[in-house]
Amino acid sequence: MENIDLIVNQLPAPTWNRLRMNESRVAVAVPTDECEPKVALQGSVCLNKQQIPRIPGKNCCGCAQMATCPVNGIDFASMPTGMGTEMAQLGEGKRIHLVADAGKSTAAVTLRYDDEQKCYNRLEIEAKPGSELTVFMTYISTASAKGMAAVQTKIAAAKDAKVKLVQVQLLGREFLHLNDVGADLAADARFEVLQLQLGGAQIYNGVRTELTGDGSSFDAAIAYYGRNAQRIDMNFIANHYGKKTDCNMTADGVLQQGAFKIYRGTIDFKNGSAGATGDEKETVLLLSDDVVNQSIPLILCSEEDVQGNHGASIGKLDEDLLFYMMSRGFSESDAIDMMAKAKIEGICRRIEDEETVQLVERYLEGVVKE
Amino acid sequence: MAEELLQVRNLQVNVEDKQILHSIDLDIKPGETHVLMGPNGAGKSTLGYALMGNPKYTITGGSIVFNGEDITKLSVDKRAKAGMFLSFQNPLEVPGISLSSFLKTALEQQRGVRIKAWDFRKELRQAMALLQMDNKYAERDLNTGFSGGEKKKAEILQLLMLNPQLAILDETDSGLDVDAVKIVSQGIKTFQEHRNGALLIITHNTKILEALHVDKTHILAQGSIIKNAGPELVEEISKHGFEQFLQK
Repeated sequence: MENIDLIVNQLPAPTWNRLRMNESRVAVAVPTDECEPKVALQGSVCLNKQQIPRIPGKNCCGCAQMATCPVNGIDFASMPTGMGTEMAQLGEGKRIHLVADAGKSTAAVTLRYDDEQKCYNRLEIEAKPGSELTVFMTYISTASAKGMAAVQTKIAAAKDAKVKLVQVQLLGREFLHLNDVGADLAADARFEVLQLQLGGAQIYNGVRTELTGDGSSFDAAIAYYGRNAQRIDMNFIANHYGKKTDCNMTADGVLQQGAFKIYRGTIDFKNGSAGATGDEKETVLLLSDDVVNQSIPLILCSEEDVQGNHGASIGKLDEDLLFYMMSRGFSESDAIDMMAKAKIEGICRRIEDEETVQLVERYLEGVVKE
Repeated sequence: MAEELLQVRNLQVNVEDKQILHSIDLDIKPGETHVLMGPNGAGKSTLGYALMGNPKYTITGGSIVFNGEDITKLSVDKRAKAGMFLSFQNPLEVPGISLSSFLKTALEQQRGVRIKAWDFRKELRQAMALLQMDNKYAERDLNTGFSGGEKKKAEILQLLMLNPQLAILDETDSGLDVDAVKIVSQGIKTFQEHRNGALLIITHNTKILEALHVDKTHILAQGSIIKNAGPELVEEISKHGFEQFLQK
């Protein structure tokens, strides 16, 4: 079977090569299947399934006049993403295109994978001025399924648009998951991404946001539950170009049973981003001695009048906290489970969709029983 | 005469290699309120932690019998399930778990059955109203970002909800203003009168005891109980301090 070797999740400013943290290499199968997404829309959002060919040197759609471009001149093909340019080697993929007009709307996109499926999907989201769109994306398969679920999601948020992207990954134990996100924000636009990475064997996850317009903001929160020798490989990048832009990135997770995790978090204050602020915070709970945890918080600065903070809290469950919880009747294993689930519940509380939250709860009940 | 709820005999406790408690004897009957007082560093909190089973405190001798069962070697959670409760002097922050979710799960663990959300909310609201706690605290992460006073109220809220047979209150009144002491004291009184719960109140401050019925008072100094008496001892300590007892 043919494989493609990809270099993904590159750190924007490399550190020492000997640390082997600058990027990751992953061998992926050529996508052979199509995963037909189930899409449900509510409010002022519509679906445009039209395939748009990518022609080198031309506009995204290949047309001569931008005015006639079916994606309103937005060059989604060239939009940078967290996992990087090599993701383009996956081909065309199954594409869906959402357009949100002014007003509130929601879209639920469910990608259900069969055993042995190797799929690549693309989702493009065009949020028009003043639109307020929430997109729920769920990746799901049976617990024992294996395969590949590669998904690229690109977001163009116009002035004053608000996009909330909720990605919940509940794949089988042997899945390779590539989750690649790119966003470009106009003035005063806001992009919020909430991610739960719970299933799969190898998870490569990149999110890159270009805070192009003045006053735009980006909020990313991810929670994961690494176990059973999972590899969780993440690359979050916030590029501040506009004045008074703001980003806030948090990663919260648990590692046990030989899991490996790397988190790269970069806040890049570009020249001209005066008054910008950025904050990144990571907490990792280590529940066994055989796990590997790597973290690279990175703040790059080409502008003087900016404020960037980063912090990390990595360690085992505090003995005093364990005693406190046990004094309320929780057994040691229940207390640990509860703390682990708390990381996930922190994100669940921000998901305004009961069905999605219940899906996660049912999945977690299964994990605890494993 | 009722049987002892708690019976401590010749209890000796070390922290690392240092002996902190020497030959402690203590008997508490169901529904009784005992007050444990003593100068700083006497070992009062150590006794509370050792009774609850904190693994940092090593029991090197003696026994703890609760409800007729020797619990000296029992784990912390099993002591809690048996009906013991410790209100912490410095309650810990539990990020990611809301106060209501924590309490509901703890109650379900204790009762071994799933509790209907509606019934739980009703019970929780009543207890919070008694302690004049804003309902919003129920959905906040337990103790995370709470003021000192709210943390102590959250401890008493847990006491009222979990309804143990014996509650050890470790300086629950420390760091509270006068009004907060009254409110917390009211919560303890409810536990005492309506739930017939036994109490071991560790305190420096007699203010919290004003509204409470006290059965016995003990003075702990240098790791030993040096005086056992009735409620009148509280008043005496309040007026004259510990000096006279230490000299004896």
